[in-house]
Amino acid sequence: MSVESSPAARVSAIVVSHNGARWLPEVVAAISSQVRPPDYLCAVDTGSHDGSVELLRNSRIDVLEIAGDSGFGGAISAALSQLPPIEPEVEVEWLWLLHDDCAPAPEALAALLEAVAARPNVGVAGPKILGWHDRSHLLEIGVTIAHNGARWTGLERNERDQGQHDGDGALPVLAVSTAGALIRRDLFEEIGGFDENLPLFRDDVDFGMRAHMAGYSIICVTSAKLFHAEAAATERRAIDVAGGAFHRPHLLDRRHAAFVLLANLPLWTLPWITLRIFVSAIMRAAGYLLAKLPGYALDELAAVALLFTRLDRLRSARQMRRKNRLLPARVIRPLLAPWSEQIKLGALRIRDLLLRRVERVPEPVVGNVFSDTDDSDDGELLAPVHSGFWRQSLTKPLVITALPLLLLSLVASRSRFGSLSGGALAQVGPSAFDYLEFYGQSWHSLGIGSGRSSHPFTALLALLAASTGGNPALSIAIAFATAPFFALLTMYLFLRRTGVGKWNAALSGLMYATSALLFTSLDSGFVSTVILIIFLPLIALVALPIFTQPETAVSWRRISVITIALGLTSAISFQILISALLFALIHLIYLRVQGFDSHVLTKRALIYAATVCGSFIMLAPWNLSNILNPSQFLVDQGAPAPIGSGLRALLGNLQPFGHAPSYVMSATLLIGVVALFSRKAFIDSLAILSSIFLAALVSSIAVTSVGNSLSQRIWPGGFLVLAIFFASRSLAILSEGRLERLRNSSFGRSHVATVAVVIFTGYCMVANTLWFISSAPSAPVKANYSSVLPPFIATVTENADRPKTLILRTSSSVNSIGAQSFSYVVLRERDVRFGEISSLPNESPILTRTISEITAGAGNAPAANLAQFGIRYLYLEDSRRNKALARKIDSIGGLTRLSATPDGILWEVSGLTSRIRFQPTGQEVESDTEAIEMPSELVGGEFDLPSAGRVNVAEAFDSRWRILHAGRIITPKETQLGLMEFEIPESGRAVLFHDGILHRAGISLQLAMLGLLLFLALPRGRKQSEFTDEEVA
Amino acid sequence: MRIRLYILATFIGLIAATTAIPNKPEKREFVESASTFVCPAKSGNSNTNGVIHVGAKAVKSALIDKKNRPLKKGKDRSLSISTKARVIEGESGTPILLASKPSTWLALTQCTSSSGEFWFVGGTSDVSSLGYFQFTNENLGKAIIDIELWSEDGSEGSRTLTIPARSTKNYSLTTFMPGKNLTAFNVISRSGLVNTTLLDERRRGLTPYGADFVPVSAAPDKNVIMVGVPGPKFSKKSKITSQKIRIFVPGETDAIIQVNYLSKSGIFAPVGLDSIRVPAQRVVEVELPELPNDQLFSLQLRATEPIIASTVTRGTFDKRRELIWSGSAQKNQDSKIALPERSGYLSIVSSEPKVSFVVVKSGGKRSTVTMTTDPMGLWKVPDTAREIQFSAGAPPKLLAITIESISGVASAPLAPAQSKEVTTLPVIDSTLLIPDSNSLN
Repeated sequence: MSVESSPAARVSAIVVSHNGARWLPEVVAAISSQVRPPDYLCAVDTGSHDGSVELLRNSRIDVLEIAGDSGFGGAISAALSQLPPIEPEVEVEWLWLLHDDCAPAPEALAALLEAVAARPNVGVAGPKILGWHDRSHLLEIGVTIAHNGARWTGLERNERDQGQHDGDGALPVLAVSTAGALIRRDLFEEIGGFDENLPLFRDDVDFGMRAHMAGYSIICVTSAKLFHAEAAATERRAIDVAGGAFHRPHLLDRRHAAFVLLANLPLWTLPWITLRIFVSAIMRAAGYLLAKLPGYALDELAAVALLFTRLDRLRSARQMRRKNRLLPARVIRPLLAPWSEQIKLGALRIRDLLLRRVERVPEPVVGNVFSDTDDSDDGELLAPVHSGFWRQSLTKPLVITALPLLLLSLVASRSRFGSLSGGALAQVGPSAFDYLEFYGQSWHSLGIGSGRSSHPFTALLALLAASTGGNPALSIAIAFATAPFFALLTMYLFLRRTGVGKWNAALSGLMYATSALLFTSLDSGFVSTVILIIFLPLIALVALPIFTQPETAVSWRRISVITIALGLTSAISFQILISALLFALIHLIYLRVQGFDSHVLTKRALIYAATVCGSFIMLAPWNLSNILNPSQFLVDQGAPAPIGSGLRALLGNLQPFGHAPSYVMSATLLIGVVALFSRKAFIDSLAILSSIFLAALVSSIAVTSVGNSLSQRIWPGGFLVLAIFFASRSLAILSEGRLERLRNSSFGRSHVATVAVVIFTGYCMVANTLWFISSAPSAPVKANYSSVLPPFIATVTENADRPKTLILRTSSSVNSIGAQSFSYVVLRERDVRFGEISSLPNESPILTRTISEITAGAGNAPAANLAQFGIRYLYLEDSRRNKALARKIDSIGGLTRLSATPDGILWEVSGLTSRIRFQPTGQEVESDTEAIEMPSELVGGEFDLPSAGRVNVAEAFDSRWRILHAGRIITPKETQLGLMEFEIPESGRAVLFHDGILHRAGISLQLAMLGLLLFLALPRGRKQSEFTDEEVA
Repeated sequence: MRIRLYILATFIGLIAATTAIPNKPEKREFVESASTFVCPAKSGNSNTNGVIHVGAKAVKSALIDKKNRPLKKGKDRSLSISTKARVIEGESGTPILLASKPSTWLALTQCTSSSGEFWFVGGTSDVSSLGYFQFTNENLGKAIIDIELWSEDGSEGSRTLTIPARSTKNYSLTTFMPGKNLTAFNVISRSGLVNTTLLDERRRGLTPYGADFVPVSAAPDKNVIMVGVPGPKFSKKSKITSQKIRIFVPGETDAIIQVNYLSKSGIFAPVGLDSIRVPAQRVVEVELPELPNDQLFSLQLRATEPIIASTVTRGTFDKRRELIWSGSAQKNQDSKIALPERSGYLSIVSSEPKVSFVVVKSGGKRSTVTMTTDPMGLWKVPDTAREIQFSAGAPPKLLAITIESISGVASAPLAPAQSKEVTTLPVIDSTLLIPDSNSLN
């Protein structure tokens, strides 16, 4: 590399300055230190008022001062007019364009000249551009433009220069930045220099395109380096150019990008390009809005709008290019940014966005455990690398505990590979879309009909099913088979993130994953409890800082994230929201006792209130529909389960369905009591004890679940999960450095407590696991493909008359007064699925009375009442056990036996049993005209009515049902049976529908709250001006 | 440390407090079901009259036809019978129906619940018979019934009838086994419950021989008591011409039967009736000799095999020929029974020496009657009495009422005609939605 390599070339360097005093000294020094200095050097100042002119003049550089609103192209043109003419002995003159914020490396010009000397067809050469502050930060190796107008460098964000793009030293590119660009003067003059429509930004790309069309090529010389501060693009200085559009660099950039595409690309591509520009502007604007940068969003839209207000400029620009070009525009197409690269880079940026930390604050240190750890990850990195991957992997505490647990879980699940049901778990539906549709319905075709809002867990289940291709049944089956493994994994992750050592985290996680609660929940079908156990540690990871950080450090974004996390958890179990409220109150009291002033307490109380209220609103409309019946908030979403006394909550085993023996238990209470007397885990012990108390309290209360007549004790799954979670955390906290402390202290109660906890916890883990493995085949939950509704009935009840089926079951024994117990449910086309049980209708006392008359073989035409309820079939389970009852039902009029198998006996109810019936009335109708059947959809219906009359709908009365008839809305009346009847005044078409406006309003409220929280939770983008110098260049 | 101990003590106290919560799951509710009463319609081809007497004015009832009318409260204690049968709510006192053909005959029967089985030993299919069966199906589905027939010649086979929903059907007795003199019937429902009434009306030529409802017999038993059989002193103008027991042994073995008279005078066994052999599957009649010299008496039949029996009394009452059927009935315990608002006699047989009951009179006035029933009690029913009520826990007893009017004499056993049943109120239970769940077991 030497000056002699291009003896016939003359280089005129032009420095354009505009308020660049901050960088100019280094720029001037860099120019002066070139190993091949330029032959002529001049500067053009565009109205600087920061001393730039003086600085240049003091450096003995000729300065041409022009108007402050001149663009870069105008400045270069002004400089050209001052340059001496080309000497005859000089073959070619090169213009070396420099900004006032770019410093070329000493060999830069020499390298550029050497490259162009070897390539006669090159009209423009540019250096590799690196960061001004971080000089390994690769900014550009040439530049091109994407189809949507984005400036495209082909580089990853913050990519380091390691020579990875250098190639053979000269990369053919569409364009190079004007900073450090070496341009043949004759080319520059031939194609008219920079477009005056582009005073700043994208003038380089436009120039590159025109150079290509003029028959020149452009290269980036990677051995030539230039360090660029990109002061204008990164908003380090104001934009003063004419038409600078409100001095907004982003707006200018976007407008010029569109201009460049529309001015240079072939005419036939313009419609497509225009569409792309519009769509991408809207999408980018939306993206900026999500990133909470409304100014940039406005720039995006304004840029396009402003461009299309001056189409005359565009037209003249295209005419000018057509006049000067030698080659067609398609020559530049290969040099545009390729689609594949755009997609790839887009995906990488999204990944970066998702992986970015929620906030740039250090993760909280919980308690004092962090300081006690002695085996940090840094220590691992410093440890000598051992050979042998397997030995390394298999000796990790997580692997040692998790792998055997996974194997044992799979063994214990040997009877649970398939579609699960049993215990509290009904059959799970096969499609997530069905669940979403069900969630959106305001009226549910369950039993005798229900307008109760669905539990939010229904929607959550559909979302969880996305992990298995939209199959909730498969999701549940996988979750049940692997729950202990994942519970250990998430708890381990939580403990590690909060500073607990590996072994402690693994063993505490093992205690969490082998808890009696998890195993009994798996065996008894408490899906929400199982899901909660798996996800609670992850959610706690997000939520715990609200308690541990000072209130001034809790941003709205953090509050939003925690609110979403709490809302989602509460959708699994509302008991978590109650606990959160309680913990918040306890924490406020604790702070008060600690002497915090009222200002701090008020601020913290507001934070807690916002979190709890936001989470509560996220549960609309389900929460609103149960607000007058708050006990339903506590009820699990599964079928009611018989559980033991509330005192059993102390040992963590409530013996659901009487399945788990007494020796299956958890060490939660013991750990809670021991932690109470520890400083490090005192707060956790309060959480444990209060959770256990709430569990004992709640499980002592019997409430009537929806869809049930009898009351059952409440399953306190949410409270118990919290108790076990905090117990595992306390165990980890207490264990950190415990051995060392015990060793260094004399024998005392600390030793006794440690031994007691170790022995009891060890016993629980071993006993629970052995029981779980051995009891699995007899567990209530198992893979089951049978159905409650016999399949042959299911096919019949799918017809347009939509009849129902009454399932009747008797107890195997009689009670003390010799009376037998009967239970019943009403089904429609299929079994009720998991997630739908919480939407079941209330009991109809009249229907119950009717069935009691049937079972007693008495009453005033009970079968007629069944027909009124739209019940066509009566199915008595277990015919061998119920011969006497079957004879009684046989003798009741209106019931005709259709079939009898050992599984059950089926009767058909006489009369009209369709869901919708029409009884003609009026003078022209004979008095004994019988009712006629009307076709029905699952919820609504549309039918023609032959005359005036009454439409009876066999659904539980709800005033929100409507019939649209002859342009009028007809509301229902309640019949004596609690069903619906509409008076129709004349013949005509009628549309039956349920007015779900309140339900939709509730869902809208939920979605609005979720959307708002997501918006607030998303990371806020930063303006270019907010980036540090080191970050941008 | 002290604070921690306080916290622990508070925790223990709170946990202990949870045990005080009444936490037992709700008990199942028991329910007593009472079926409705069905009162027969009047025969369509005769000019009979009739009144149904119910216990109270507000008792709900409705005619049985295809319209499935809702039950409505009545305005009076008496309801006229029509060509449609009537359904009456089951919680009221057992209604009683008094039918008559003016100056020709008087018949009395209780309204009963629909049932799956009825026994009748009575009636005739010979040329003198004008009697008929009336089947009423109050329900919305059709009922299919089998009628097994027996006569003095043994089994006469069976007939199957279909009774349409919400309808009443009459079948003449002569259509079942024409020419047979002694008939017995067993009505068994194959599907649906029906109410069955048998009216035995006889006439030879233009001479009416009287009529009465044949009482529904209790299920076959080895000990049968027929209460309220008219005796020679029933009234001053009465003259009993014939008094026979009709007996049927439904089993396969002949029965040896001993007959005892129970009357206010005491118990005695008539000569010749201490060991009657009745062949199985044949209907026989046995003439009663040496009637006790009482207004009304009862008959007790002790048999070696289960039997059913009725007593038919023929005679002239106030110069009119009349026949009266007396039968065996179920025992009463805690029941309410409506009375026909006519003076008459209530016969009571009980294992207890004394029986007490409450009489509700026309103005609602209540009075308690206590009478000796050793071996049989007889209470003269005033025409102001509307209902008698036996308290819960009262000893079981057999009742019959016998009345006389210008149209004739009639008797009917009074039975707890309701089929009451105590069951657990069914519950809607979402655990049934879980396949293979066995929460009840």
